[in-house]
Amino acid sequence: MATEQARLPSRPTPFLDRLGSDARHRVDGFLSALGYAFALHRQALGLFFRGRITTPVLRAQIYFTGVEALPILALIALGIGAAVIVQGVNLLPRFGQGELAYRILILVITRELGPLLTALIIAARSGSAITTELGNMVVDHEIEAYVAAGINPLQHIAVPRVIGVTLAMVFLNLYFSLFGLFGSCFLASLIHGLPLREYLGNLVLVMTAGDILSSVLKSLVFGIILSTVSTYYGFKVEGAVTEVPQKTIASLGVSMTLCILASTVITVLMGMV
Amino acid sequence: MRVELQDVTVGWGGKALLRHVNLTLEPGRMVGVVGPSGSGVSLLLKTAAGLVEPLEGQVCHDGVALNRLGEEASRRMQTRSGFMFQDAALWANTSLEGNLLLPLRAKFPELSAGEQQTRLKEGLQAAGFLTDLGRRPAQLSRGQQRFLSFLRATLPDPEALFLDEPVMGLDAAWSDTMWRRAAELRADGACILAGSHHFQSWCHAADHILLLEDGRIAREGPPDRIRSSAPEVKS
Repeated sequence: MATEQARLPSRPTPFLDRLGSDARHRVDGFLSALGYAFALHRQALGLFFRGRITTPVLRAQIYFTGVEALPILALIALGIGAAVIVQGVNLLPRFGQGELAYRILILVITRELGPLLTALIIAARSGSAITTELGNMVVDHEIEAYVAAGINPLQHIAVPRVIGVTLAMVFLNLYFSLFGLFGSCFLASLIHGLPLREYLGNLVLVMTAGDILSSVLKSLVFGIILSTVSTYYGFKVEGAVTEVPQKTIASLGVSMTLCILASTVITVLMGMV
Repeated sequence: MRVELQDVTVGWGGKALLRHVNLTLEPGRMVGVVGPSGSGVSLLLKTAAGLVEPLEGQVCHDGVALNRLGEEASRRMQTRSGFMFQDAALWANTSLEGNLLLPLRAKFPELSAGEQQTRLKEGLQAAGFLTDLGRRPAQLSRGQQRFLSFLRATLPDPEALFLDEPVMGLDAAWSDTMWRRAAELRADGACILAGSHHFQSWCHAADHILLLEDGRIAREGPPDRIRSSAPEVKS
C-alpha cells in the first residue's frame, strides 16, 4: 500500500502549469519557424546573387511547379474568366453599368482571384509534394547523409525549391491572368457575338499599373510563403513515416491560411496607396 | 584525423541513450563497437561523426570541438570524414553518379568536371563496381545499395571513416573489397570506427573493441580478449 502511494504523483499537474507549458511550446515552435525562414532566405539571397544554386534541383522544381501545372491553371482561368464576363455582360447593362464588366474582370482575375487561386493550386500540387519528399528524405536518413558529406541541406535542396517555386508562381500568375482575361473575352465573343478587338482594347484601357503591380507582388509573396512553409514542415518530420502525411496536411493548411492573410494585407495596403 | 569523445552523454526526450562515453581514435587505427540492438551502437557512430550533438561532453576532430565550429567550418570539417549508413541512405532522387559525385565535389570544389569523372572511374574500377551510373538507387539490390553507400563515403579519401554494420547484405567479394579499401585508407592515416550488433570476423582486424551495453561501455580491449571474455557476444 505504502509503495503504491509512493508511486502516485503527490498532486495532479496544475491547470496553469499545463497551460503555461503549452503556450511556451507554441512560442518555441513559432520562434523556430521564424529562425528557419530567416536562415533559409539568407542562404537563398546569398546563393541567388552569387549564382550558386543547385541547377538540376532548380530546373526540376520549375518544371514540376511551373510547366506541369499549365493545363489545370488554363482550365480554371478560362472557367473563372468566362463566368465573370458572361455574368457581367448579362447583369451590368441592366443597371446602366455595362462598362464596369472590364474593370470587374481585371479586379477578379488579375488582382484578387488569379494570384490566390494560383497559390492554392500550387500549394496543393507542389507544396504538398515538397513536404512529402523532404519528410521521406528525413525518414530515410538522406538529410543526415547530406550533412555527413559536408553538404548543407538548406543550400542544396531547400533553396532551389524556394527559388523554383517562387519564380514559377510569378510566371503562372501572369499566365493565369493572360488566360483568364483574353481567353474569357474570346469565349464571350463566341457566346454573345461581342467584337473581340473592342473587348481587348477596352480591357487594356481600364487596366492600371497598380493592377499588374499588385498581382506580381502577391504572387511573389505567395511563392515565398508556400515554399518556405512546405520545406519547413518537410524538415520538421522527426523519423516516423506516419508523420509525413500529418506534416503535409499541416503544411497545406498553414500555407493556405498565410496566403489568404497576405492577400488581404496586400489588397488593403494597395488600396491605401 | 584524430577523433575524440570526451565524457559524452547523448539522448533526447529527457532520456540518456549513451552515457559518459570516452573514446579516442588515433590516425591509422580502427576501433570496433559491438553491442546488442538498442545499446546505442549507431548513435555512438553518429555522435563521433558529428551528426548528433551530445547533451554533455564534447566531440573533437583533430583537437577541435565540433560544437564550437561555425556553420561553414563545420561543413568543411564534415567533408573530411565519410559515413556508411546502416540503411545505405542513398539520395533516392539522384542518379548513382550524382550520389558518388556530390561528396567528391563538396570536398574538392576546385576539381574540374573532367577530373571528377576520372577520379570516379578510377574509384569504381578499383572497387569492381561497374554498372550503369545513370540508374537510380531504387533500381539496385539492397547489397548493391550498401556497397554504393561505402563507395560514396570512401571516394573522397576520408580522414575518418564511420561504418555502421559494414558487411550487412554484402557478399564475400564485396566484403573483401571493402576491407581492402579500408586498409588503404588506414595506411594513409585515416581512423576507422565500425559498429555492429554481432562480433563478426572483421572485428579481428580492429585494434580495439568496445562492448556497449545499455548505453555504456561495459568492456573494452583487444578483439581476442573481448571475444573470449564476453561469451554472450554472438559471432
